[in-house]
Amino acid sequence: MKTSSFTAIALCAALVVAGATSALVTNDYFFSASYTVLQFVVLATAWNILGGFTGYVNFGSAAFFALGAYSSIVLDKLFEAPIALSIATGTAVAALVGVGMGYLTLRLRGAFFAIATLALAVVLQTLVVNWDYVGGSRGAYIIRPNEIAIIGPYIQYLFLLMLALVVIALTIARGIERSQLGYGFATIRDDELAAEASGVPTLRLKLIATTISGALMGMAGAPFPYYIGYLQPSSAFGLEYAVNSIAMPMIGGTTSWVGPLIGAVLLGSLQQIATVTISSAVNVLIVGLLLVAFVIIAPNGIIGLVQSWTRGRAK
Amino acid sequence: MPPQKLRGREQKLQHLRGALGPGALAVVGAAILGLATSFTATFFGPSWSPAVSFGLLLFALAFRPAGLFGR
Repeated sequence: MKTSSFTAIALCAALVVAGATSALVTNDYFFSASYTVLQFVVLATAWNILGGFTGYVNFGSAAFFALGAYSSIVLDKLFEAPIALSIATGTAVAALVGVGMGYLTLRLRGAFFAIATLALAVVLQTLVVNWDYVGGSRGAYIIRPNEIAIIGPYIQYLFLLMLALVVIALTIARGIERSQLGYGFATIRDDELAAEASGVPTLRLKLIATTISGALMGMAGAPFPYYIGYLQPSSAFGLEYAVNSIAMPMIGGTTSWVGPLIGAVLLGSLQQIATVTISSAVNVLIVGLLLVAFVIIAPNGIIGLVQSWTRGRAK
Repeated sequence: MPPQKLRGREQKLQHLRGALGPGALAVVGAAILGLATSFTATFFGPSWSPAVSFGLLLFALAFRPAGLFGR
């Protein structure tokens, strides 16, 4: 299937979801919960481009997410920018930091790369905490309109926006997976030294991977202040973003673009259900337990389970 | 292979490394990190100190991945 036809199908699917929810669901909380799930789909897909395709574990996803969120805050404080401009800016800023992070840290491998990304996240958080213009550690408000024309409640608008971002992220991830770029990423994941020796421009490919991954995370974060209304550093840089964006692709399967989608929808919905029915503290426990279980039972995630099952049936 | 001639700062670092040994080097690293953090907390405020300690870690990983005294 070509990328263009995939985009068309994804758009149609998104439209069906959007139409069905706006026709059937009357409860606004549903949109609020779904927004979070979709946001994690984008984050997990973005993480997977660097972590799954290229094999570099990024522990600083929250930093890129927060970069997107805080660029929205800055633009809102400057001239109350429209949300589309905020998203574009957040994406650009996160992409820039992604390149910078790539240049700084891509000579490192394995655990050292993860430590470096975590260090970057802490440094960025400290900068934001000490930056009074965006509210420092007190946080900042964005007053969003209550309703929007045609669509109705603002949360429905945000939900549709996030759905569009999901389509963009999935199209990019799938496009990369089937392209020369994706094969290049896979060679780096399998054996970086052999790839370099065979003439794969590993440093350039890794820089591309960090840039795209960072940009998509920033894109996911940019609408967040409009969603949450009140943004503070400890929530924007929260560990749950870093942990979730690692756990979701791991549970779904990291080698394909479908994995993060499955993992994020499954884990995200489970977390939302647990938040409503049990308590909001339980959802971190769920992530931890599921991650441990999947690493032990199905190291290749749900995709790996399905593949081995169909292969077993073919025999 | 003949021993390579080291220049300036590199030579001093290698001498220091040879004189101290691996255990003491950890102490040197701890002293650098701890003092930098405490001085920052005293002169610029405690909210800046994570940036300094993690910034040092980031720069060490980026520019001297084998450690300050590594080759």
